[in-house]
Amino acid sequence: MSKFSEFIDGLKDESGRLAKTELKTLIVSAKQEESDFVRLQATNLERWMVMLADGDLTAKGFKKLVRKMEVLTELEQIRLSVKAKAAAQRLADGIQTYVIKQLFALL
Amino acid sequence: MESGRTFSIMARLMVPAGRWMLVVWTALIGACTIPVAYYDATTYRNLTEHKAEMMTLVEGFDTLAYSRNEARIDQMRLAFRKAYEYELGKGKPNSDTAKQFAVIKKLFEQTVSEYRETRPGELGRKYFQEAAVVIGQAFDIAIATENEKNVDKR
Repeated sequence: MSKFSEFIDGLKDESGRLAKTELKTLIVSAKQEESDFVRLQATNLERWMVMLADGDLTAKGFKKLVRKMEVLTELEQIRLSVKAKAAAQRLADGIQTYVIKQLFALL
Repeated sequence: MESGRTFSIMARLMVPAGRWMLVVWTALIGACTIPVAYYDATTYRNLTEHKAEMMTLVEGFDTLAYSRNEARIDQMRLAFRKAYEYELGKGKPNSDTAKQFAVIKKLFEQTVSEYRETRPGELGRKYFQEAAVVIGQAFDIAIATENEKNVDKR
């Protein structure tokens, strides 16, 4: 069993607030995603939980790091938007060069 | 005979019809395209250099007192502000990248506040090592964004 799983299983949760199995499944499946970004986020989260278990991070520090993940998501959303715009730009530039300038001359 | 004549008329009409279709198609695509800045080598260099500098600085927060880092923090703040102003200067087509710089700037300032406002070890003995990793990942996304832009061939 990984240190991450041991940590989750070892958490005292008498009120049953934490869905331990679902949390473990979330991390494991995210680490197998195609998206580099999703895998990176899952790896961060797993590493920080292990660091919390080892005492390298306090609960306060762990919570602050997890909130910083939102910043990465915001940056990734911008990246995806720019990627889509760049694809549209390539199409428009291609039409200008190959269709308007070259094909039109033949028609 | 009649069908051959019809075909000939249709064939002659096809050229102007095709041309008009292309004009309409081009106009539609042009109207839908949102301008986006082209790849900029200066932006790429600024991002890669500031990534290394900011990560190195923040990694040191775990072991050095705030007072010993204050001057370096101010230098970093100024250098990154200059890079941000450069991005803003490129105008609306570059608003996405300018926004990314703003987000990274805010992340850095937030991390500096945590450094200034907490006791040593309050967030964990390796907290700022990990905060530096997050900053590095933020820069990586911005660098990838720049790399995904088109190169201006004009």
